[in-house]
Amino acid sequence: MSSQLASLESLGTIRDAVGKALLRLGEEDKDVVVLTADVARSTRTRWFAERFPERFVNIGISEQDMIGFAAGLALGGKKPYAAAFAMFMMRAWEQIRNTVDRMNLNVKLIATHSGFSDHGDGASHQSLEDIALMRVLHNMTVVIPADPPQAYKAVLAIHRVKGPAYLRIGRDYSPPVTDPSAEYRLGELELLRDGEDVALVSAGPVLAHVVEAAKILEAKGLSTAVANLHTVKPIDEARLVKLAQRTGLVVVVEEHFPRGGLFGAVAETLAQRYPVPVVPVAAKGYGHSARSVIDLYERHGLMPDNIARSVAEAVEKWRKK
Amino acid sequence: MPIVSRVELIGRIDSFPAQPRAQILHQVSLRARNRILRMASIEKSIHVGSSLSSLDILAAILLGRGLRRTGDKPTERDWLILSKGHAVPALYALLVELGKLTEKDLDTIRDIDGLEGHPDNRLDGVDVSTGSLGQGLSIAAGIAYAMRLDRTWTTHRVFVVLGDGELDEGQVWEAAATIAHLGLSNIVAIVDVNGFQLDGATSEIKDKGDLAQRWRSLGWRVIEIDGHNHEMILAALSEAEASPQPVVIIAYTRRGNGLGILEATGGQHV
Repeated sequence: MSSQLASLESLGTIRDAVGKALLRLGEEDKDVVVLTADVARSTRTRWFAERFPERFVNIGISEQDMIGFAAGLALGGKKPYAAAFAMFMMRAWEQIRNTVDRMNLNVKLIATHSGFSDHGDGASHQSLEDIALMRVLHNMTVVIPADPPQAYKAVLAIHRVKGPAYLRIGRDYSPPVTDPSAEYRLGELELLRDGEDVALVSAGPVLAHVVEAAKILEAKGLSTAVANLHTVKPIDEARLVKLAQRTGLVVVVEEHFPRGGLFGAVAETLAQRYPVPVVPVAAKGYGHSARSVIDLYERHGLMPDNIARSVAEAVEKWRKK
Repeated sequence: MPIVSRVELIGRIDSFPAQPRAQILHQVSLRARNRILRMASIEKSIHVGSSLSSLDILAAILLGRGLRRTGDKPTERDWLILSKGHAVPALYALLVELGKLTEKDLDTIRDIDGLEGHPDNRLDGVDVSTGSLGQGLSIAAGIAYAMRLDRTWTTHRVFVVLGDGELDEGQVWEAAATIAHLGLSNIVAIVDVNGFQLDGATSEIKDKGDLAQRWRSLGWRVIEIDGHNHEMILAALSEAEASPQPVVIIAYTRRGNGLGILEATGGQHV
């Protein structure tokens, strides 16, 4: 265990972790085939290509074809992983919907460079809609790991899912936030800290900022819970309801537009099961180029101090009522 | 080439008396045409013209050449993908010949809990769900690649039937390039060139250019035939199977073939 722990701690960035997990799957399961759309280096699927050249196909800059190809592989009994930037995976949404999801095919989608993570490339490469698009699909499982160890374990977990799954990761920035030795439980809301005044729900790299924000709030006397909604679909209704019951106020923080993503998932669930105020802290509009992702987080109110301020405002607003 | 221990012919034409295959196909097509017309009289929204233009091609694949199975794995059989899914009444009409549907089943076309308006692979005899144009060739590529990995790709074929209107979809050309690049010679594409798409003649809506040249330029072998001549279709299919390159059969057809009032017109309903 300790050697595995050590290796999980030295996974590198989140996309490195996914690349290494795919290598492991390639060793363990001969039916795994990896596809990419001319982003083998960027998605780290190149490592798989070097180790298992026969089971790797670079489809070129044609994501729609890649999804159809993946669907064909799945029909042919293989277990395809199609990797592309989250933004350009969306280009093939209708193929994902009509071919992969409708036939409930065992196709795994690895969406990298999501949110603001591709800071330098600007708005054309920064996906702020993909969670919403994938979450509405009937059969799709949607997973957003927070950091490299969780990403590694999440890839192994979705491999066991029979049917389509979407794994959303960023590019590089992903501070450690989960316990590397913890078992990964797909579909289970992960409580990172408990609290009674307000619950913060988030996923992905920005979760680390949420944890920091909780510390700031705690210092101001607000008992703040933080939960990692790494599996957006299927959503853990029971644990979300418990969180809402305990705190009576939920703030959802995400690297996505505040429509249809994590906020949508949490609000839809609680509206039916246990209505409490749910407040979004999310992207304020399209991104743009920046030298560092931190600049974009600051601009969009996703740094720990911004988040803490937004949460304090929400508490102020809703506690009065 | 791997030794094939068991070959099951999914089509059953070989059990017919020893008549020339093309002659049998002619009879099959006549019966199937009647079924398509009956479906059209029951449910007017079906795509009659397109079903009638694809019928002879599908009959030749399913009953003339026949799909083959050598084992239980999905890569141990031939596949047929109707990428122009709106022509599915033609497939249903032929599934009756194969005993997978009854004449009565056809009466449920597009009815709730009846036969779907576009191919759905939950129905025995429909290999792949389609309906959204432009996707079949990519799916074929994935299946053909799985066959390559399983070393069955010299034994088994993936047939894909596309429409000429469908070629407007850019994904078709993405897939055409992928297949040629990977050398997936176990794919046989057949384009049903009936000259029409939903809103009118293909030349009016969007001209398709020199079709043979478009495929050839990517590395496909092109065979051009009369898509209603069973002998020619069968000969083209045999030639395609022997080819070391992926083959596209460009089949010139008449929309509404066999039905004078609809033949080669843009009319949708009988």
